[in-house]
Amino acid sequence: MLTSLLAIGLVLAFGSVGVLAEGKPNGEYPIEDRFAATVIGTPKFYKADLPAEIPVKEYTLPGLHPVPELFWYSDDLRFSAALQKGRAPLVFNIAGTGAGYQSAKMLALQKALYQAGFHVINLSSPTYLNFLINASQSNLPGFLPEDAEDIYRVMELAYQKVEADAEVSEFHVMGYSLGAAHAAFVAELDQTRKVFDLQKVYMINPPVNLYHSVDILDQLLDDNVKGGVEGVGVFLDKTLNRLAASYEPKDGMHFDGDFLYKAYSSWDPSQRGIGPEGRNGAAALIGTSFRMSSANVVFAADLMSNSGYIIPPGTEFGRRERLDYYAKASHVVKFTEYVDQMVIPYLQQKYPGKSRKQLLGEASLHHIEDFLAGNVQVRVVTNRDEIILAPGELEYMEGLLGERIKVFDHGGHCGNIDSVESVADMLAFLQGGQ
Amino acid sequence: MTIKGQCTAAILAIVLFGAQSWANEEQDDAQLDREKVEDLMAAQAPEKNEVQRLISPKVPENALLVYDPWEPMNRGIYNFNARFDRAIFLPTVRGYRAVTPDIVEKGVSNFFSNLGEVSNLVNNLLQLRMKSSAITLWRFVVNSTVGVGGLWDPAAKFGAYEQREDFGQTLGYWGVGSGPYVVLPFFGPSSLRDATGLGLDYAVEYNIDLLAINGDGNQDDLRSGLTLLETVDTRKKIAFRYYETGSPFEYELVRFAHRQLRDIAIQK
Repeated sequence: MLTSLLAIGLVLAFGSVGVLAEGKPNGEYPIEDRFAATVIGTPKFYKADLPAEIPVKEYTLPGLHPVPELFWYSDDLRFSAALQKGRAPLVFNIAGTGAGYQSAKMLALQKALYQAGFHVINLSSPTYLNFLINASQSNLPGFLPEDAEDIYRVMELAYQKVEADAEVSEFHVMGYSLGAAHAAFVAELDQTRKVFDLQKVYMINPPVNLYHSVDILDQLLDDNVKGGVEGVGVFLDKTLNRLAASYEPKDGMHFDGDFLYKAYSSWDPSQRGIGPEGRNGAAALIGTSFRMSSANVVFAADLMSNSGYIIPPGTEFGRRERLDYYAKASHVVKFTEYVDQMVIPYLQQKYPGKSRKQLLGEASLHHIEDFLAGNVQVRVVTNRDEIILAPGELEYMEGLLGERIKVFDHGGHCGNIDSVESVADMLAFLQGGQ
Repeated sequence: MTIKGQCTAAILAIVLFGAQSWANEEQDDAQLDREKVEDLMAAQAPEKNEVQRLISPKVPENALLVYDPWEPMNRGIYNFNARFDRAIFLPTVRGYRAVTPDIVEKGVSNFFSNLGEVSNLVNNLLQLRMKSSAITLWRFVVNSTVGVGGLWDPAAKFGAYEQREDFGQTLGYWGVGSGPYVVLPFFGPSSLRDATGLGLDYAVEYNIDLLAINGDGNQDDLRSGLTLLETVDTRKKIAFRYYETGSPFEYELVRFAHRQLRDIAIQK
């Protein structure tokens, strides 16, 4: 009796596993609204096949600055590495705005690269709190040439850490979003420093002019959230309730990207995009999330650099300090305002005689276009409906790179980063010519 | 015009003016009047330390706010939890995962979920959710027998998913407000109501004593072992990692998200 029950139990437990794998639709990335694509990401059936887990080790490096009490939890620079047993090329992978080395996109890229036989070192963005505090010389990230110096220093130290365990044949660098621009600047810097002799540069959804891109993202919140930043609380409340309305937690579903996709595709197409008064819910979410990243940068940069922009200089924060007052103030500041009012004044003091326009121009791919145009080992991948590019910037990159840019039709900003096609493109480029 | 209005207008003016000048700058590539730009920069710069300009003086009705009168204590406990998590909890979970085959881990999770059906059933009944109660009972019976003491979850294959309800939700269902935000040691974010509910759920499970191990001195080791295993299993299933949001305002974010998700769970 017991054995037959056990047998039934086993059949029931494993019998239906195959069902999910069926019904896989063919075709390209399915979300046509660029904002929705950016928020939802890649639905399961279109994702590249990646291992559930790979052996990743975390490392720490000593920080450059004394860490204030408030940031007690972030007192060393952290990064991760997935290393092959034998000799292999090593890829430095740089995160996008506000993202850390262990963010979902970074983990997906790390898995894809590791699976294809690369050593992979994942680095946080200089705009990520842990990097900003510990590895940014100025504590005022956002100026690409200086960010590149910071990243380059971290790359050297990180490689020293793993050198004994990794036999490296050659070095590549890549990144997505802001990290893609960083990758290009790092590679350009390597031309003179020559520590790594970087072979290939792979850029996923890069900005062209950083200031244009952050301006577009700043504007998304103002244009799509009723009442601007003051309305964010109400907006989030409403959005969560709307999502909850189509979410039945007891149906064995999880509140993740696939749920969002299901909710999105079940909504009336006429209501998907534009809401009341021309507002777009997905665009509002992107604007809100960008503003949150920027608030983190504003607050941390102000505290670390003693700029006195919102925190009176000399203010000491304890570990249990109430921060809602400062949280609110930080969220009012746009990223463009941060650049104009904190970064540019610092740079003008450091490089007297340089105008704002000159400095902003240096934080743009235009500034290193000779390097990009002349180097056959640079590749850009982006989307026709990318949201962070100003008019003409996609055409500029196409003109500059010719064969070396791949433009997918849909995906918005990094929405298709772990799709089958995107991962295939990345691996084909990095593995090619070996 | 109120002070708030003036501030908004001032910020708006600065933004518009700033954007306008940027646009002009882009259009004519002619030599820029540096003095003019510097004046503009000066006009845009906020007065130092002027937090007041950046936040409106009156705090508006804000859905982001959660009643948190014990914030300093809560923050202290939050930090303690973060340290405990990093130093002890997560290494233990990592060790557990390293030595245990995935299928065994799954069985352990199912086993404890199955025990938890008791409190799910009690709370579904208390909330008069008859359909959910029936599903819960059915799950418990099927999983305890066909699922070999709850090690497998065959009921889910028939589409009968866990109908999770706890005592905090029951109290909420009957109109008890959440009360002040509370961060519990080890457990994390909660509220006065939910913390009370947690205690009641524990009391129910303890008294029903499905495994018949309570109050028997010879079973003390087994009981502590199971409690430890359940704790590790619970932590394993939660993806959250302290201080990886990269936000200096993580405490506020977690507080907001937790309250929202609880409210939704109670409505459902």
